[in-house]
Parts: sequence; structure tokens; C-alpha cells
Amino acid sequence: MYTNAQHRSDPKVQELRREAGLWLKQLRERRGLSQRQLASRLGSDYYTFISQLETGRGRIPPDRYRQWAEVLGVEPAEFVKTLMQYYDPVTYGILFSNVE
Amino acid sequence: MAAQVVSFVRREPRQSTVVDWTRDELAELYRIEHALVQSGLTLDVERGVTDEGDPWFVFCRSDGEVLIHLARYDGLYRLHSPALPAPLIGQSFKALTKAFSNQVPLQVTLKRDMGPRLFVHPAAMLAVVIGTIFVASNELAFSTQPIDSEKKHGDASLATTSHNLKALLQSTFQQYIENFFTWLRDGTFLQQSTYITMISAVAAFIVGSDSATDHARDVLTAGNHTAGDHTNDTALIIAPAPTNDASHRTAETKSVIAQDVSDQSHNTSGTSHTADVIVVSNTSTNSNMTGLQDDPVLAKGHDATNVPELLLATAYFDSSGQSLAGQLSLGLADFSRPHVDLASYLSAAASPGVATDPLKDLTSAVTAIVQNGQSGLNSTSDINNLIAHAIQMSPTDGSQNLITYFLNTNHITSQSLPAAGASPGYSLFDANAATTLESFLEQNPNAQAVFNNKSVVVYDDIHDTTTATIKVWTFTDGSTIAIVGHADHGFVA
Repeated sequence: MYTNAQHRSDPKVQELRREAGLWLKQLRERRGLSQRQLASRLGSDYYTFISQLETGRGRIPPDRYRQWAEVLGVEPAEFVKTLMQYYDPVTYGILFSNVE
Repeated sequence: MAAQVVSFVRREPRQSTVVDWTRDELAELYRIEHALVQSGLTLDVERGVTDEGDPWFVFCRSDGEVLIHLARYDGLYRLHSPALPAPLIGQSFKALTKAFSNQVPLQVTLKRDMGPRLFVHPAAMLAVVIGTIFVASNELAFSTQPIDSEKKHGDASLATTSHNLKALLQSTFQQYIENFFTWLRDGTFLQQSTYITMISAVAAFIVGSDSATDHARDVLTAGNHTAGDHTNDTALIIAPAPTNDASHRTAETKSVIAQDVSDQSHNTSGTSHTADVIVVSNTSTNSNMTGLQDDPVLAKGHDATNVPELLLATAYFDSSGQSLAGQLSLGLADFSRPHVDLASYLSAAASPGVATDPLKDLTSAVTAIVQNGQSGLNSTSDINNLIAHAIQMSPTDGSQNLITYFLNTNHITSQSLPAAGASPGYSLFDANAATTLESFLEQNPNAQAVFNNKSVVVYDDIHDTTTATIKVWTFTDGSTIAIVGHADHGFVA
């Protein structure tokens, strides 16, 4: 399990998680996958986890980033970079604020 | 022969048919959440449905980390957590507790032959299991060597991980149980595990009918027992109090043998339950309570001479001729407890009328435990006043024996039983309830009943005031049913 120093009670964090969920949902639907089909391709034990993530609850474990990117048809680095924007905006800002 | 084309249709996702949690399921989940929050855990919950309409419910830490994911789909209930070696899967919430105990053999070492015995009802067991998993998951999250149950390990590594997870869950569960018994026995508990004890206290708070007695606490004291002597065994029963069902209102008062909790399917389908805590004593002399032997749950693993007293055996209450399967049908107005927020309740405590609320003393006790960490329902005074409030008597000075109080005051007066259907002494009794109670008293001549407008108290062996056990059901309309006494001479079947 990976801990996260962010406090979800912070409205900004909640909003970012929801945006992350919507983004993941868009990627899934763009691939024409149901939540169950996505879970199956990810080898997840329970497909309701996908719905949970898309609602903005919880996070994709980092060791699954690459697999998620491949299944959703996104270049892994771009996938992680976008996710970081939602999951860890502070780090994202430090790393990419000068670039963007 | 013409070729026949057989179409292997790829399974398509089901059409979206929302099959969200039922009202009873949600009530149970939020009740568990409430108990955990009241116990001092900081958590959050959320629920939703999938694109196929299947419901999920998560228990999260304050930082949003999901520690427990509950779901129902494909006809099965599933519980996932990083602390579990494998998901719990079953056909009901109750079955999840069985899956838990199968996966994590619980070592509740309560000295079966030498001391108290533990009885946990499946309905309350789910709260215990979720609380245990939540605490264990949280410890994992902050451990220096995180364990991700979804990681793919080699066989040896996986076995080690699974072993470690089970050990963590076992120790957490054991701590929970031991803490509760320590609290019952000594009125104290391990400081570092206050929140765990709180779960138990709040479980009682939810239904407002804690009935721990001095006798029960006494027999929990180490050294009172000899090997093989069950005479004074005490059973802690965390039993359900069903919520209201408009078509079939029942109050379940049965206990379940701890060892059998996981493999018994008590007939509680269609009802949801709140947690209730009852403390009773076993005796070896009430072998006449043969009705208990007919109960499929109680009978299993239980010898004929060692049955809990004051449990309302199915047979005694089967006035309709149907097996009630451990349920006492009373047909009363409403068995459900309101969802009481402790903070708002206390803030209203100064308001007129609240002082007579039967929850008052229990609330105070819970608050005292929360605030002071070392106190609670530790004294005769606390308990007597609690029960006095629960059955809507005027507060006593705390030192009076309740049974003596019953007899020496005019708050509750002895009356003849109401005629079946008429119920003059107890307006809230319907015909079925009156018949049931009458039948019970006819079959148990040593038992007596007293009534007032809002309460009925059934008591037994009133001359022995030192070993009384008390059970009180408090209903949302303020009416109560209490059973006082013990069954040394046996309730006659």
C-alpha cells in the first residue's frame, strides 16, 4: 500500500481526485471498454474498483501505472505525468512548472 | 450434412440495471461506520454504483486511502483490503464474516473451560471484522515495509506475506476481544487501544441497552473457575436488535455459539441488525430449558446442561405454531434505533426532556470513556442508573438493588396479565405479543411480570438479588421490555 501525504478532506484534493476519475473514465470509454472489461485486462480481482477510482476515491498504485497506460492506450510517461497532476500537484508543479 | 454455424457469443456487459444497496444493507453499513467513528477512528466512507449498476462501499482513511472496499456483484458480496491475504467473498454480509474466520483463524483464547466464554452474533461480527481490518490496514499503511496484497510475489514470498497479514489480523482481533473483557472485568483497558474498546462501548450505545451486571463482571474475574466447571461461565453476547420491518417486526434475542458463528446461518434474512451487547450467565442446572436444544444454532456444540439463562428460547414463543428460528415475535411499534450523533446528542442534553431519555446515562458513560480513557460503566451505580433510565424508572441513588427497587416503589406496579388482545396494562402490546408473553409466563410459573404504561418487566427468582442479570429492549417510542433474574430452577418448557 502506498501512503499519500495529501489530505483528502482538503476540497482541492477532492476536486483533483474527481478530475482524475473523470479523466480515467474518458480514457476507458474512448477505448470502448466497460469497467468490467478494463478490470479484466488489468487482472484486477474486483471490477467495482474501477468505478471507485472513477468516482475519485483511491489511487492507482504506482506499480500499476505502466499496465494501466498500456491498456488505456496512452504512452506511459504521458499517463504518469497527467496522473501526477491530479495525485501529486505539488511535485508536478516543481517538476513541470517551468516547462508548461 | 449442412454445416451448422454455432455462434460463441462474447459475453457482453450486462445492461445497466441499478441494483444499489438495499435500505437495510445501507443501514447496516452506516451503523458500522458510526460505531467506528464513535470509537475514535478517523475515517470516511463513500459509495457508488458501477456502469452495470453494481454497488460498492468503501471505508477510507482521512487522507483518502481506501482501506476496505465492499461490493456486491454477480450475486456475491466481496470485501477487499490490503490487509487481507485474499478477498472475502460470500452470499451475504454474514457469509463475509465466515470467510474472514476461515481465512484468519481467530485465536480467541478465553480459557473455554476456566473462564468466560465468548459469543458473538454474526450481525455484530461484521462490525468487528471491519473494525479489525480497518485497524490492521491502517497499521500496514504506516509500516516501514508496506505490503501490497495485489503485488505478485513468488510462492515463498507470497506465503510469508500471507502469514504476516494473518498474524496482524489475529493480533488485532485478539486485542479487540481481550480489551473488551478487560474492560468488563476490571473497568479498565489497555491505554494504547482505547479506540478498540470504544467500538464495544459504542455498539452498546447504538441500541442503548447495555446490561452488564456486577454479577456478570464478578464471574469474569479470574480464579473463579475450575477446569470443567461451567456453572458460572459467563457469555458475552453481541446480539442483534433488528430494525423495523413494516411487515414483520421481530426482536431477536438469541445468542450464537462463538465457534459456530461462521458456519451457521441464523434466520435473519430480510432484517438488518444493530449491535447489542448482552451479558448473561450460564448455569448447569437449567437443563429444563429444552427449547434451547431445539435451536439449530444454540444446540450445536453445546451440551444439554450448559445453556445460557435468560435467553428466550424459540419454543417458548412460538405462539403461532411456526418456528421463529430464534426470533421473538412481539409485534411492537418499532424496534429500530435512530441514528444518534453523539456530539449533537450531548449538546442537546441540557434541553428539557432529555434528562429522561433512556440513552442519557449510557451516553454519559461513553463520553466519559472517550474523554477520560479510564472510566465508564465501572460501578454498580453506573449500571443501575443506566438500567433505571432504560426502563424509565426514576433515577436511583445508584446503590439500590434494582429488583428491590421494583418491589418497593410505585413506579412499576404488579398487575395481572392483560388478556390476550386486550392488553390493558400495556397499550403497546398487540394481541400476538400479549399471547406470547402470557404463554411464556404460563410455562414458567416462577417468572412474574410487572407493567406500567410504557414498560413491562419480566423477572425471575426475585429473592436472589445478588445474581440478577438484566436485559432491556428499548424501543424508539420509549417503551421497554426488560427481563430480570436468572433461571437456576429452570424455565419449564
